[in-house]
Amino acid sequence: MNENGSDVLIRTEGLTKLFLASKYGLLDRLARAKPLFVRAVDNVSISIKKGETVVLVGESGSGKTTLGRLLVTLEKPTSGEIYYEGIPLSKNISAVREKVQIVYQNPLESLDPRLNINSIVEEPLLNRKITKEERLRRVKEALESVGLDYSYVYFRKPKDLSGGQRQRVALARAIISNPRFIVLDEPTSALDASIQSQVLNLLIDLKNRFNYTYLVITHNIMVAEYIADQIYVMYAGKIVETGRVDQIMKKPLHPYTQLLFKSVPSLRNKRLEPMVGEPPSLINPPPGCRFHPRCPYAFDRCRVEEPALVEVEPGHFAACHLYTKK
Amino acid sequence: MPQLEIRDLEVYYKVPFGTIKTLFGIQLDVEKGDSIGIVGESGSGKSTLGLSIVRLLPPNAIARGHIFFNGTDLLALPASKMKDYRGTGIFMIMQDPFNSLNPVKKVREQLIEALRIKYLRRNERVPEESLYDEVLKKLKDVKLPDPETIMDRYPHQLSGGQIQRIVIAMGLLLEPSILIADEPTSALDVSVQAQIIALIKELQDKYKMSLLFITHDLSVAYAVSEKLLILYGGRILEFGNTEDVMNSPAHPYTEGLLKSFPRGNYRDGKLYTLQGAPPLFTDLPNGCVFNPRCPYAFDRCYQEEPGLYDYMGRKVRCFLRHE
Amino acid sequence: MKAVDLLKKAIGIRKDVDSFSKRVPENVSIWYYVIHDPQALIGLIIIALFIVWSIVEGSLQIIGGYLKDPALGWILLPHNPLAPPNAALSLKPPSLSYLFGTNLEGEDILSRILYAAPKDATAAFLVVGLAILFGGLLGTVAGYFGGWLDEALMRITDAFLAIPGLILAIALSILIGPGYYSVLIALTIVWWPIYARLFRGQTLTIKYRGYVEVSRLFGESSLKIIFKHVFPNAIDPVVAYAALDFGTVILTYSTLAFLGIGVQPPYPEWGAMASNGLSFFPGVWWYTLFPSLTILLVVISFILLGDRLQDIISGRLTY
Repeated sequence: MNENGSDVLIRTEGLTKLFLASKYGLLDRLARAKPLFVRAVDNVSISIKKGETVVLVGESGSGKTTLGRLLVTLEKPTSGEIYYEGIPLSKNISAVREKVQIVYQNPLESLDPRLNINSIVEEPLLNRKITKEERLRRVKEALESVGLDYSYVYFRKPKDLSGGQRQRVALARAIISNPRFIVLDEPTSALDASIQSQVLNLLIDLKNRFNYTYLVITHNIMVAEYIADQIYVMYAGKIVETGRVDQIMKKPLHPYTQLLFKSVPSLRNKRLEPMVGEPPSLINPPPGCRFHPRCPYAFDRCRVEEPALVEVEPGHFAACHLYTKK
Repeated sequence: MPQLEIRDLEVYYKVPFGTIKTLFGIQLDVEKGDSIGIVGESGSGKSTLGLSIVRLLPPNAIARGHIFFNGTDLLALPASKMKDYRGTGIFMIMQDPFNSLNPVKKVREQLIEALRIKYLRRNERVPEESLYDEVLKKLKDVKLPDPETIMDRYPHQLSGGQIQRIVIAMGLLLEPSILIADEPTSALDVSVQAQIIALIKELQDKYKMSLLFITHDLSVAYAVSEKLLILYGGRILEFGNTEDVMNSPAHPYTEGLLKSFPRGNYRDGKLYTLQGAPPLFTDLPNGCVFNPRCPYAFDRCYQEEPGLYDYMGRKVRCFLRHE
Repeated sequence: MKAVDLLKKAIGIRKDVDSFSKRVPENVSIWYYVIHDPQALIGLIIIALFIVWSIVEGSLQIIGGYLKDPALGWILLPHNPLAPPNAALSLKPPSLSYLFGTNLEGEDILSRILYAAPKDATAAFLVVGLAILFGGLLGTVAGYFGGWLDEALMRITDAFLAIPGLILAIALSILIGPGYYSVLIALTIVWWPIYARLFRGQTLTIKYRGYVEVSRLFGESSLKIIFKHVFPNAIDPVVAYAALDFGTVILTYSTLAFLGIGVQPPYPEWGAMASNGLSFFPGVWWYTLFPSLTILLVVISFILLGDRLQDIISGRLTY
């Protein structure tokens, strides 16, 4: 997995993020109680190639959003390291921050309702030494790139726009500072069905024009399949499977991926087969493979030994004892 | 005779600057055991439709027309009589489940109370202990983890997913003739969504309930329903057998919606898109509501509104399907 | 604050407005709804009259003070509110020339009510304004940064809120010393913790919104983020609360004056006038009735308007 080639933009090694499960206040500290941690992202190593779209698939609570936030420096890793073009992030965080962006699921929450569209989109440029004329030119350019008419939107507030237009504004703000890497957290799930395809087309179009690298977080399998080059499947804070989109969609290896595909409603899937059980507690995850309590194929080894990611076919990895050699 | 007949239903909202009409001449027959997926985007009037059947519209709303439930016109009933039909007759699972539970009563009391009402209305006498067992069994059916403990909690101590399952369990305990579910799975995770859908389907088969499943997600409606009702701008645009509608959509809107769903990878080509955005009730177009986005629109579409025509065993609001 | 709730109940404030705001078109201003709601409109008109009068009368008093010509302060009033005691005019019932009657000293009650208005208006707006400024900033900063700062501030507000506001205000005014400004200081000290809590609560939700997080990515400083995004967005629900609160401040301020704390005689104050007249009640009913009614009218007006604003703003936020 760790091809250290120059085409890798972002690589993580043993990335781990723990959150305090409950408030750890003065009294707990005095009583020397042991703090409880939620293992949101647990020892994750991924690599993202330049110009590729990587999709993180998983249920809520699988740690996919936390992983995305770690990559854009909105969270600090508890342990592990992120390498941006081979340089550890902890060494050049401010340089990386200029090159990464994030777009959220709900534009109504990610756009300041008090500002007009012009002020929202120009915000990333305010801290840079750019003249006013240059700023205006770039705002116009960014809005045009996402298919909005500057003269129509610049004075309006987010509430005056439709859902699809708002998400375009959020995209314009993300691309105005010429980032290399954009995390898109459920970019279409707050949108109406007839608007979703407009935004997906726009994302592909922007990527082709400006050669962005995307990390898309989604639970929508159809969206994942459409936009992805590479897919990572997350379960309970771990990567359980990764491969090229066609490999994963045609032949999912991990039992979790297989069951997930069968249980998610899609236009091909009239008879849903619901997965049994609940996602595990991340405070006290089950020993061995974290999926074993829900897995129909679980055997003794799964309950004691945690499987590592192994390459089952070229470029297609799964963390499952069904594929590890004795 | 259909269990539920909706005739010429129109709903208006009174606002300070006038009235806004949000449902236009809705006609719908629900036969016993039907499962109908009501699909619409934001501002299609889909939630208003559900709320007007149980008569839980906000006080500034006015509903005109008729909703016959086993021959009784619900809209003509006095408010005091309506409550006899709610619960065991028609039960609605709301989009925001928190409002469906009483915040000062424990979950157990509320579920047992629902059961008591059911047996009271059927004139059956059932011992108290068996009520508890029945509730417990149903909570296990909706895959609520650790139901014994959760039953002794108050609603605010529970998560959205837990509440949603409790409300669904309540609906199932009441065994209503008609179950209306307004986006019941949108607060739940993808894997839980499938569990709940399967459960509702299973119980619907078992008790021959009629199901009205309101959703914005065509793929969920596809999994749930036998019949599909497409709402847009407060009007029914298409109504028919789910498989038929999905395989050969008759209305340009349904067609566009289905075509715009992603299938395959971006390398295989761009997605089809419907131009523009769904209309606002304050600013509906003249003629057909869909004309600003319709690729086939011609002169007549801008001048008069098409009726709901019969077309190959379906109902379609489009001039193209009217001979 | 209890009194306000009782008043709200008594005048039957409508509670069904949430559903109404469901289909609010997005480009109509708040004032449109206020003007189209009879209750809110009445409140607005009375408050507007109260404020305009306070500004006019207050300026005259200040100018009069500079010109060493106190008579300028009552040039618009029917009589001199500070006239020297005149036994002949003492306790006259309402008449054409003395619409609200006269008091023990023979001064015109209407003139004294009007003369006192600017001080009440100043008290209301100054106390709430300062409470929003200090409490708001402290609450926002505490909520934004969290940690021990937040913990400390919340425990301090706890301590303040544990003591009944009126009692704390009395104690503080006595401690600081008598006089108008010491009452204002005392009231501000009593009032800021509520606003600190309100703003902190708002900040806790706003700081996780996308626009705040994204600003952090742009390298915006925390102080700038607080002033650009957090404080302005936290203020909406607070405005509605504040509109209700103006009435409460006036009520408390008058209560203090009623108890003899605050503005000292011979300067008129509504609460003090009501208190003085009480010993002559019911025989000389006008003495205490008209000042009390004035307080009631102003407080109710703020409640009518504030309640409506609250409905509209909270409705808009959930839209």
